[in-house]
Amino acid sequence: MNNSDNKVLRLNNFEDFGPSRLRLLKHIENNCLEYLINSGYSNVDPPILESADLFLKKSLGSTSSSTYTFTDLENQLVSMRPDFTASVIRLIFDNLKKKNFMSKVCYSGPVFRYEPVTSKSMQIYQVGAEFLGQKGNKSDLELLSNSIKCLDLSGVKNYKIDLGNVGIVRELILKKGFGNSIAELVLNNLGNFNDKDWEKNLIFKAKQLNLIRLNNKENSSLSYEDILKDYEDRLSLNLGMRTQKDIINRFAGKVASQITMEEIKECIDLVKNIMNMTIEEFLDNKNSIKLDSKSCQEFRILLKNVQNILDEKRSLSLNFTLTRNLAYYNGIVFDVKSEEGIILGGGGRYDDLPSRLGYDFDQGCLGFAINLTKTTQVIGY
Amino acid sequence: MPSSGSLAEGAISFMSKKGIIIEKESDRKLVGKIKDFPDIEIFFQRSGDIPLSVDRGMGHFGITGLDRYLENCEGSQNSYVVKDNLKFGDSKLVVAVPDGWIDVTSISDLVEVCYEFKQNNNNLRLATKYPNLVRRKLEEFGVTNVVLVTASGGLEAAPMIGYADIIADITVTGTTMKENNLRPLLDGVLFDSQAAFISSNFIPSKFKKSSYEIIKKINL
Repeated sequence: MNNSDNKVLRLNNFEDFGPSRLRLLKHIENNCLEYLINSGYSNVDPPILESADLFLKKSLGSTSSSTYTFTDLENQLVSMRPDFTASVIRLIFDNLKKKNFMSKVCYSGPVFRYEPVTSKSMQIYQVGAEFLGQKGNKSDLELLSNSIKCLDLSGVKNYKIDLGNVGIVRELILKKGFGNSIAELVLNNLGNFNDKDWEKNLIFKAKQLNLIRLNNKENSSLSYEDILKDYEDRLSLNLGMRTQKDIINRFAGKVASQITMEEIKECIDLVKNIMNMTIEEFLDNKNSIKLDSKSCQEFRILLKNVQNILDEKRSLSLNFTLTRNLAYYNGIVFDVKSEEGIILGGGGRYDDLPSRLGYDFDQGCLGFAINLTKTTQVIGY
Repeated sequence: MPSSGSLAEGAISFMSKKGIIIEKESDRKLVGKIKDFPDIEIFFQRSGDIPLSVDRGMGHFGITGLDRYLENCEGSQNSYVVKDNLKFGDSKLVVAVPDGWIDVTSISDLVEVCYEFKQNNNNLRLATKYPNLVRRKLEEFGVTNVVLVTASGGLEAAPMIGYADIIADITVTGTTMKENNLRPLLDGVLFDSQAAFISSNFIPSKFKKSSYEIIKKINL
């Protein structure tokens, strides 16, 4: 890039790190890595550049549209990693032969996210860890403890942890008899739960998605022949590579899972009740919704254990609206924020991610990362 | 400025309302002038070529569709959007599917159909003139397993010919799509576009006064 004086300018939203900031960053990075290595994590370093497919397959969520992706000199579509998780999982499975293993790895380095309309830095330094091979509370607590320790080592004072659980929210919606489509719609819209038009927008989207039955008749399932007859004109048009059978079967499934307007409002009330629950209400289980399932009980134990680790200056909040990158989180999710509300890191459980990336593995997967770029900014240098 | 089409008429009218009078010797001439601005020349081009012309420094200002600018120049350090809505040239970039896909009414249906294709070892193919814009927008909606087929025109015929399954195209009334048995998804508007005024970041100092006056009038 040249201006009229022929100087080449630094790209917008990419920062130069001077000696004092870099010293601070490296200090935090080294402390965190040393702690993680001593806790049984293996330090790994995947390449910055990977096949774009790796991040497209993983994402289904917010990072995907902000990836630096381009065609390289060998005509391959490649991306600069927007985070470490997918690369680290690929590294683990590419390099290890056994299926049933417990693998704990840690990493550090830059990631790249393209956000032109904000003033956020597009190159972010991270330090983090991935934990494969365990499901359940024990590994959830271990991960949270590791991340808390890393934050303490960074020198950030008075941070807050927002802890949610995507799995519990989904479970509560499904337990009340609402289908997967309704559960996904709600979960995909929890991020703006606190907007004043949240309920109205959710109902609008449910109508758009044909999830709401507009008459209140008992839903008798439509037969294949009924659908073929009712939609004969349209089904006889060019359908491309899809077959009439695929289309009709999927259509029948959609109609069968529709709910009434009263039912969607019931679901919304249930969700509001869950979202507005405080940590104390959840722990005491005195809410009108009975939260007695095994996952709720385990989450209760986890919350108490995390409270025991933190002191009052580092607070823990229950936040069921937290979904982070919903597409692959299926259990605990957490954000760590500074006193000023700046997100310094976070993580959670994403058991399905390895299979989403094409690996035959369903034994649990979770991780966290700390944003060292933001952390050094908050601490000051 | 655009040389033809609705953007051309809208651009001349817009400039006139802002007190910028375009003078051209004849309708066929592709160069013109601005009254009272003797140091400014107007080049009339295909509206699709204008973003790159300005971005590469061959022109200093331009009126073009916002969709065209974002497709080719979003994030560029060489140019920027002065005003992103000149209140004409409205259009929408929409995803449309064959009308026979009665089970597909929304983007989330499309996500599931992508998986259906993948399970059959195929990829859903989408034809568009805006591959960059469409890819970014689709990824925001969680649609990722799609192969984009770039085509310059006649997209509505793509599913019939067979080189794509669905399309993403600019539409104003939706009539052409309907006549080709295509149906926009209920939430399939990826982008709302309209005419935009763009500027180069590198205007030579000898034109600073005129360019300041033009931008001031544009922003009134």
